[in-house]
Amino acid sequence: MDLGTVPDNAAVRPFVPHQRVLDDAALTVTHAGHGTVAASLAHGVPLVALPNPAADQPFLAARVQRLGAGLALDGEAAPTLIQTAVREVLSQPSYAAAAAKLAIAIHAAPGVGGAVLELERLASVTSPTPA
Amino acid sequence: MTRFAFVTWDRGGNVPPAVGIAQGLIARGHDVVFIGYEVQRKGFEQRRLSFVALRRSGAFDTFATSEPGHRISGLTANVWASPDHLDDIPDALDATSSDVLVVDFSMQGALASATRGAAPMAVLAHSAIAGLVPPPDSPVGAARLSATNSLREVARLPHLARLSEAWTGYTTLVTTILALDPAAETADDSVHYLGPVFEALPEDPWESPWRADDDRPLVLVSI
Repeated sequence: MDLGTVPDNAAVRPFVPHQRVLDDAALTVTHAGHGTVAASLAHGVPLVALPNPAADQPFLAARVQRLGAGLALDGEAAPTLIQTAVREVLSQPSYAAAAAKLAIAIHAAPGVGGAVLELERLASVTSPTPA
Repeated sequence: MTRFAFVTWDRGGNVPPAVGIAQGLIARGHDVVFIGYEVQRKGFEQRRLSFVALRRSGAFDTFATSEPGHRISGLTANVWASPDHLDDIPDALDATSSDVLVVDFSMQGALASATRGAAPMAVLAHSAIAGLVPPPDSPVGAARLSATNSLREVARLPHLARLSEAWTGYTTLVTTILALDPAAETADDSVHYLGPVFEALPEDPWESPWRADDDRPLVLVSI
């Protein structure tokens, strides 16, 4: 993808693991796929969401805004609107505070260990149909 | 040791949580195989995970770009409500000698196959169910429900009033948190909200181009 001239304060990469960036990030701008939303919130990073009109993205964008952890715009929002939203989220501590609250919930969740336990429990049951 | 078979397709965000859970199972000494579409083979092989393509439906290109209506109808017939899955899943279970199925929530043919007794089944939903499952009165939801009920007639299973009824009573793993999913308020005890599950990735050589003491806020743009 050719993005043209990239300004000095930006770096463009086709892929970077979220973990490498989110520890130091103040904000994520995203299409609001669950992976990026969840990774950002797990780091207490608020969001500006630009969802595609597909799947769960509009729902997640609206949910993040409802929970106070970011703002949801139209996926085709003009750059000036995105800029305004970015400045709003960066300047108001309430967004980061709401994201931090969700980070606590994420880190308290069972995670992959809980999934493994549930699947091992299922494997120990001989019947292929639920009780 | 148990051999788990993950039945999946690649819609983007649904694969990494499945891989993360698979990595957890493998770390516990279990075997894992992924069952899906040929277009996924390279990705699983790069991850060094076993992969088997669905025999009848597996040639469908889930990434093919076309007019949106055609794309939706293609996904409905080949992924979301594929009658081929009624036979593909038992075949894949035989071929892989798997003990337990972990089925993507959206694949109603595979869910029906397991409901008919192909193998013990868990269902995996990678995001908020309230956002993932289209309501039956929406155009996409109505089309998927109609196609699902057609294949369930073939499978001699009762019709569904909502797509989510396909996994009622089955162990359902939802890899998000309660706060992100209003559907959690009415979920029964078989639905487990696990929080996000992330795939373990190899070390990446990327280094930030900015100094550690740069006081400008860092904004991640992830599209």
